This record gives sequence, structure tokens and C-alpha cells, in this order.
Amino acid sequence: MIFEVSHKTAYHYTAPVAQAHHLVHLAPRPHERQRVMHQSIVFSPKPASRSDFTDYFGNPASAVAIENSHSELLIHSTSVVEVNAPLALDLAASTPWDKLAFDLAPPRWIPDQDAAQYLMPSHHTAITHELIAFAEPSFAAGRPVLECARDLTHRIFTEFAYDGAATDIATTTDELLNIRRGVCQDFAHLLIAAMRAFGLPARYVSGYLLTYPPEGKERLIGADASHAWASVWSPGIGWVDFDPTNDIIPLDEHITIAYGRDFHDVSPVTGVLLGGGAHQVDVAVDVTPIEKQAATIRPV
Amino acid sequence: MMTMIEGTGTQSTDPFTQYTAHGDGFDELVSDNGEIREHWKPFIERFGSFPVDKQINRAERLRRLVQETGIAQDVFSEAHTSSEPWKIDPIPFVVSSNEWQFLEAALLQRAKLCAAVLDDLYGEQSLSKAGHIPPQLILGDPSFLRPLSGIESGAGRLSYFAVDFTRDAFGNWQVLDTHTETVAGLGFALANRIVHSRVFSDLMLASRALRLSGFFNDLHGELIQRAGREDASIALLTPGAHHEDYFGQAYLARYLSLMLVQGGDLRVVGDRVYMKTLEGLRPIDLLVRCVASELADPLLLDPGGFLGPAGLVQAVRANPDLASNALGTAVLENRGLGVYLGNICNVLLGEDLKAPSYPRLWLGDAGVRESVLANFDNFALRKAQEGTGRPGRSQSVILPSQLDPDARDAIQNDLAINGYRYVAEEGSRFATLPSWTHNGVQPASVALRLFATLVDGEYQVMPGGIALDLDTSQGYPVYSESGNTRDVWVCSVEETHHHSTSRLHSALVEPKITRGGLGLRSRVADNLFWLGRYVERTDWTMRLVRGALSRLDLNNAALQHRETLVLALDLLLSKDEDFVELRHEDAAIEQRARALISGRGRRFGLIETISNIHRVSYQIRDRLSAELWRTLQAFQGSPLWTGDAEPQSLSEALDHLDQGIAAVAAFNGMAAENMTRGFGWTFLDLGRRIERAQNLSELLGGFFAERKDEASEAAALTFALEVADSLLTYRSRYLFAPMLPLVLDLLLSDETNPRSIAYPLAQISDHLEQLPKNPNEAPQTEERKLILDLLTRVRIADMYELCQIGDSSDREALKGLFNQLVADLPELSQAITRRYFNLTEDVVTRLPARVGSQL
Repeated sequence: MIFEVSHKTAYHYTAPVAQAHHLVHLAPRPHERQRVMHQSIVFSPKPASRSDFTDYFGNPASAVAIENSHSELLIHSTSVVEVNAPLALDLAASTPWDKLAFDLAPPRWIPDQDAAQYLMPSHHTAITHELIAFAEPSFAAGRPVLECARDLTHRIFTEFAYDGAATDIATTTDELLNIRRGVCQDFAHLLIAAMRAFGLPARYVSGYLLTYPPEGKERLIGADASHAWASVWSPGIGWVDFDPTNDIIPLDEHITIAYGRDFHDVSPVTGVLLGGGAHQVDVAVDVTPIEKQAATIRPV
Repeated sequence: MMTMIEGTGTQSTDPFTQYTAHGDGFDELVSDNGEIREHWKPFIERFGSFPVDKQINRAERLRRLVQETGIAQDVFSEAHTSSEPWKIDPIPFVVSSNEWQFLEAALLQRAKLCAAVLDDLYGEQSLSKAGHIPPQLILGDPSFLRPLSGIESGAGRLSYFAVDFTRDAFGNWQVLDTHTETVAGLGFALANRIVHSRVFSDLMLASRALRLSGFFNDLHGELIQRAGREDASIALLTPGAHHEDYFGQAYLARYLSLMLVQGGDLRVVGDRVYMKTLEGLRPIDLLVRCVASELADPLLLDPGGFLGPAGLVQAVRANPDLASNALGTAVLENRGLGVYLGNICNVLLGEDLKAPSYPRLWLGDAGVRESVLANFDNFALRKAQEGTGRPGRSQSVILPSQLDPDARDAIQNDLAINGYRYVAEEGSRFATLPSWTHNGVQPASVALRLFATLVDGEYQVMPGGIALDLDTSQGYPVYSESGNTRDVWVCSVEETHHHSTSRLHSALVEPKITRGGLGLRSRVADNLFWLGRYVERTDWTMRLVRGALSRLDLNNAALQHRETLVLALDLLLSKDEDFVELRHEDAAIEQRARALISGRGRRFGLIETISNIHRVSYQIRDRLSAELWRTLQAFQGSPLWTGDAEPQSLSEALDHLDQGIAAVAAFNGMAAENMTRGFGWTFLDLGRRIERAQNLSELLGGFFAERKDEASEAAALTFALEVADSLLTYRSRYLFAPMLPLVLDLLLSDETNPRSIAYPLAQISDHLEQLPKNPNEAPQTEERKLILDLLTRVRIADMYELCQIGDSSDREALKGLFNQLVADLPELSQAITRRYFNLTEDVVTRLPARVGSQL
């Protein structure tokens, strides 16, 4: 499917900002199922310097500096992206999780650098005994790793409520397990931390969802903002996405912006300001299909 | 064992004949057959032949020099806390030239190896692809900074490298820890050498100890070459005076003539780093990085880290050699790496490691972890990812055998999840060497820290180092709490000469005549301003208290004087919130004086003010000459100045105050004679003048705004003249007893009297005219208006009018003028702060961002 994506971010400051440095991850990254046909990011006021680069995880990123005083910052990213659904997938054919964990642990390790990057705990995916206790039922001995992930995805969807006010950036995994409410970012972190707790590679995916679904289909949660889900690795198959917020395996309606260990690596907009006082932020995301592809293939 | 202190006077008693190494392990001094090793003989034979009092005298001189130089691990531990002071053992670590060849080669090899590993980790990561390093070891270490990956370094990532060697009881050298993040401890090693050689230069020469000047010369030359131009701005980036390494950093910066800057002094504009100065932004060409990399850029690294400017990584991307060491080098300090380094050495360099790493096990390996847990009590645990930085820092070792069951469970649980963060090691025995203690010469074990630095693309080893006492009482090497250090003498084969290579004549530098130096940093200006204020405040408080106490001492104080004295002292005490009026008695004066001399937390008390002097002067140590610094250290010498003791008698108190006033005079004299008249001086002097005008205004207003009885007024007049050091001038001008209009003329409006109010006001006005102006702003800025107004009021004041008494028995005109002074001078101080120091007050906000919370 081909989409046009518009992502507007507006910051309003109560006091003038004398200088601002921003790092943005707003350009979709190309991957084997995703082709980026057009991309532009416009800042207002115009930055004194801008550097577009590819970050450690292979994502396009931009660092900008605004040197003149301003009380408002607008960032508008527009993209045209083609996304294809993955081929039919047999989750049961993936490697048993315990074999994979054994193979990846020192003193053995599979020298797949890409998978290795996403094995260790990170800032938002701390591993605790409570987390292990929560995840344990999904990891029966010998169960294929992608089935474990599918099961966890479903459990998070059924056991946790979507609530935009229950958590914030500082909420820990243990707190989340306690209150059982959160947003897409929290659910993605929970799934990732659970996989890593059992020695398995899992990564964070930031992106978008189709905002206006085709007729007769229900509108998904997270469609009018940035969205986040997780991706799990199995040897021979590669990375497979899981969206615990919607209890699905993403097909061609999830547009990928970036991969990271967690939110911290790929947050859409961050910055360090001199001055600024308090601020208010408004985000508007529109994802519109331009042209529909032939039939999409459902997962098994 | 003989006690040194009780030695028998001038009789020679060689303490080393008593020295026996403990156990049967290797000893540095004494060989297996009980003989003093050849390379130690020049030191041992000479020092041992000194009379006991001369030995003690040398040790004592060393201790005193350490204190005067201000070597301290933590500036704030110096004065008030019980933390151990810095100690240098009079006995150095003497290394034979044979031994040195080995150590030098081992250090060079390790430096090369570490540089190659770093390049791989931040480049291809081929070592972990090929299975030589478990990726978990590196990727689980927060010191591995992903944003720095792929940035090619031209000059080399690892410019400064240090290793802590230990020798086991069999005489084999091992590498206990590796320091790759900053110039860890180099400044301390240098300070130790300079201090130690002042006391032991004769023995150094006799031992043919190699000198360090060549090494620092090369280091300095390398910095200039790397910065790319001879008048480059090279700065040492420090976390600030609160950091335990600060002394070493400030000392090194001074020695190498580097600017000492903090994150708040810097700003990234475009791809360049600038320093904020009074005149504006000034570009920096090279940063000697002494802050943790992770905390050096809140934009791309740890968002909570503000030890460097936002955007530093971008600047480094544009100029990879901007910072040295490069950002991200700390990852090599991971102790788990030691397990794999021997193999990596073979892979990368095609040779065996010359000095092996201290034997440890990395608990990220599940199999290893199981075997350690099975024999838990036989091991000690350490953090694998601990920053190993500064010399003498005691590092925690966890001994499972000594934990209670709960703590033992907790650590086992943590190991199950976070095993990769730990290493385990078995106990060991260590070589010994003699240490100078109160109980004679005793065996001790040390870690020998040696330094290498990159010069022209090749590593060079400093022919010396710093040895740090190890506490091995548990069988594990832990940096000792006592913090004993010692100089390291490397014996040369040839005779060494006293050649005077000075770093100032580095071959690379063709010096140009410059004046005014580099732009004054706003933060430095701020600290100099407050140093001026605190020094002046100390002087004022001491003079007031001395004036009051000396009257008690004379024992001729008529009753009515007491009221005056109490009023004067209460002007200072009333600055504190808990001030309650004390009863008007002799005892009350002593009580007040005592509160001001020894009381803690009093804003105008000496303890508080002197500790403020200490604090602000430490922040700008690199700006103060050694002599100027030493005058301030006079206040550290006696427990009376630190509040740890109180004067026991009136005469002791008066002596104490006399000494203090002399110390302030020495500081002021030294500053007046030796400081160049740049903006630094201007701010020091501004602070002093404002404080003086303020204090004298409060005193004169307090004494004379209300009319009192004649005896009180007479006492107050004499007292004011005395405190303002103007009694002699008055007597030389007038034959009468002090009269108010005449005293006011001398103390208020006489611009030739440096102790008047008008004099400092005129000075302030001149200083403000000289400071940099913003060309886009009206010439009469807030602070200029204030000073002009005050100066004019004082200049046009009529002394006789001021003395006239109104209906309410107040001197209305006098009261009005002094009220204005007392209210406007703090305003002036604040206006100066707002204009010149505010650059340091940038409020930095970090935008939090979150996905999915917009719903």
C-alpha cells in the first residue's frame, strides 16, 4: 500500500528560547517491505545548522540548531511510503526459545551483530523479577520463540488497558505491571523487556498507523499520533513485528520510522533549550492511502 | 619496633635495618637473601644515615608542603570533614632500569592494544563478529556510546592512557585496572613529584631518578600541534570543583597553561564549541576532556548529563579530534574485558600480552556464573562497569562470605539477572615495600599507576608515576581508605643531570607578545567578584571583633563603651535569622565575639566567610598564582580557622585575629603587586570595594543616625576611626578629640582615604567604565546609573548639614544618606551580577517527548 504521511509538531513556549538543539527521528527508514518515495522535514524558524545523518541503528536522523530567539517551533515532516505485507509466516516454525537463548548466551554467541544489538536491557526495558514472573507463562519449554512473542502480545492486549493518562516517561516496568494501564510505548517496552529477560533479541519500532482505514474496517488505536510496537528475532526468519496495543502482527498498514533498543534511541523529537520556561506541544499526524495494492496476505 | 617519634635526638638510627618484609613474599626493597636491592641503595643508605630528627623533619616538611599546595582528593573534605587528607609517603617506589624496561614495554603494548580495540568497537565491531568478545559485554555497558560509532578519528581516540600495575607475592606484574577515560591522576602524579622533589631532590639525584619535564614538554607540544595553530584555545573540560579529581585537573591545566572550563562555560554554535566570555563567544580548538563521556552532551548522550555543552557530539562529528580523549573511551575500563584481552592481543597484534590482566571471571557468562555461585564464599565480586578514574578512590568489593543471608540472597538474585555487570576474583597475595608510618618503617602493598600519552602518533610513557596504597587485608586488592600515595622513581642507567628544560620553551612554540590574555569567562569573573567580597568581609569582621576585644583587654573601658561595642558586633550578628538581642554585659561582648570567631553558619562569622573564600578560590584555582594561593592557605593551617577549636583566652583570640588580618593583608598585597590589571583584577577589586563601602556605611549609619549621649558618641567615633584604620590620619590632621563632622569628612567623603566610603565608590565607578559595553545599549546602564547616583550624593554632601539634628533627635540628612547607601549597594551588586555573570545562569530545559500520549 502507498501512503502519504504528514506529521506536524508544534511547540509553544511561555518564555523565549534563546538557543535550541533538536534531534529528530521523523523520516521513515527504508526496509525490505518498505520503500520511501518522498521525504522532507521543514523546521520553522529555520535552523542555523542542520545535519542529516544515519544513526547507529541505521535510522535516518536530523540534528538541528536554532540560534535566534523564538517562542514557537514548528516541525513538519511529509513522506510518501510504500509498504508491503510480510509473506505468510509459520510462527510454529521458528526456533524454540530456550535453544535460541542458549545459543546466544556467552560463552557461545551467534555472531549476528544485528540481533546482538537488541539483546541487552536498556533504559526503558529494565529486567526485574516481577517482569520475569509476568512473562514466565508464555515461555513453556521448547515453545517456538515467535509463538512466545505472539502469546505475550495477546496477553498484554487482554490484561492491560489503554490509558493515555496512567503513565509517563518515567514509569518503570514494575509500576506498569502493577497498574496494568498504559500507552503503546509502554506495551512495546513490556514485550521487549520480557523477551530480553529470557535472553532473546527484541527491538522497539516507532512508526505510524493508517489514520483513515478502508471502509468497513475499524479505526485502530494510535492512529492519529505516532505509534510504537515491537519486533522479535528468530534465526532464519529474521525480524517479525508484533503490535501489543492492537493484538496484531502488523501487515501493510504500519509504517516504520525507526528501530531502536527502546523509545530513548528513536524518540521523534527531543531537544535541549536555553530558556523557554514551560511549554505546550501539539502533534498532528495524518496517514492517507494514495493507492491500494492487491490483496494483502493474512498471517497464520 | 622502634618508634620514630621517640628517636634519640641526633644519634643516627637507620630505620631500614629494622624493616622486615612480612611473610615470605616478594619485597621491593629486600631480596630473598635479605639484602637491600641495588637500585634502592642510594636512597636507603643516605636517608637511613640521617639523624632521626632530620628524618622526621623531612617527613614533616613533606606533609606541610602537601597542605600548602592544597593537594586534596576532595576540596570540601579539606577543612571540615573527617575525610583522610592527601598523604605522600616520604619513601618513594624505586624502580630499577631493568624492571622499567619491562613495565614500559607492557604499558606501551597495552596502550596500542586498547587503541586498536576501541577503533574496532566504534568501527567494524569485527572482534565480536569473529567471536573474540561477547557482544553482551560491550553492548550492555552504558559507557559504550552508540552515537560516537563510525566517527573516524584522525589523531587517535586514546591520547591518555594509564594502567594500575600490581605485583603478586611471586614477583609477577599484573594489570589491576586500566584507565582509558581521561588523564586520570596525571595531575596528582605531577603534584606529588613536584612536592616530593622539593624535599628529596638530593636523594633523587643520588638515585638517578628520571625527570618528568621531557614528558610534559612533549605532551604540551602535542596539544599545540593538535590544536592546529600556535595561539590556539586549548581547554581542559572539568566537572567542577565538587569533583574529587578537581585538584589534579586544575593542577595539570595550570602546568600546561590550559584554560580550565566547565560545561556551563561552553556553547556549541553550528559545528563549533565556544567559550562564553565577558566579551562574547570565543572558539575553542581542543578540549582535554576530563568529564565522563556519557554526561558530555545532553542532546545525543545521557539526557541528564550537563557536564558538556548540548551539541558536543555534532561538533565532534565535524571535527573528530576536538576532544581528547575522544568521547566513549571509558568502555575499555570494563573489567570483564580483561578475560578476553589476552586472546585479542594475539589476534590484533600477533603477540602475547606482556603483563596479564589481574585474574578475574566475567559473570555475564552463564557457565562461569554457575561455578562461581557454587563456591560463592571463595570469591570477591566487583562491578565490571565501574569507572576506575582517580587515584586513591576506594572501590567496593563485595565479599559474599561476609554478607548476612538477606544481602547474600539479594546479590545472588541480582547476579541472575545482571550477571554481566559483575566480575569475580579469588584472593591473592601481594609484593611489599617499605612505608613510613608512626610505628616505624612497615611493609605495605601498592598499585603502581603508570601513564602513557600519544605524541606524534606514538605512545610515550611517563618515566615516573604514582603509587597508591592497597588494602590487602582481606586478600583482595582494594585502594586503601587511608589514601597514602608515593612518588615513583625510575632509575636511569646513566647519571641524570639537573638540566632546565622548561615546558614554556617547548620547541613548537614561538611565543608572541600578548596582553590581556584570553577572554575572561563569566563564571570566573563571578567567583573573583565574590572572592573579593569574602576577603574584605573577613578583614572587616576581624577588625571589628579585634576592636571590641582589645577594649576589654585594656580593662579601661568605661561602661558606656559597651553599648557601642555591642551595637557594632550586633550589626554583623543581625545578618543571621536566629539573631536575638543579647544582654548588655561584658560577657555578652565576649559571647558575641566568640560567635563571630568560632560560630558556624553565621553569615558574617569568620568560619563561614573563610569557608566561602576557600570554596570560591578553589573554583578559580587556575587563575590564582601559587603565591596568592598560599596566602589563602594560611587560613587552613590552624583549627581555629576551621572551627575545630576555639581560642582559650582573650589574648589568644587577639593573636589569632592579628594573624588573620596579616594574612588578608598578605593576600591583598600579593594581589595588588602580582595580578595583571585585566578584567579578572577588575572583578576582584569590584567585589572588595562594594563590600567595604557597604560595611562602613552600615557601621556609620548604625552609630550616628540617632543622636546618643556624649560619652557614647565619643566612644563610637574612636571605634569607627580605629576599625576603619584611620585613627592615625585623624590625629595627624586634627588636634581635637574626634568630632562627628571631621570624622565623617575623613570616613565618608575623603577620596584620598582608601578606607573612606567615597574612595571605593570612585573606584567602582572607574572599573565599571572600563568593562566591556554592549554597543547597542544606552551608555547609562543600570549599574552605572546606581554608582553615579551614590557617588554624586556622597560628593555633594555637606558634613555640617549631615550632623544637624531634627525634631526626633535623629540626624535626618545623615540617616537618609546612609539608608540610601545601605539599600543601593546590594542593588549595585545584583545589577553587576545580572549584566556580567548571567551567561552562566542559562536555564537549560530538556524537552520530554512521548509517543501515544496525545490520545
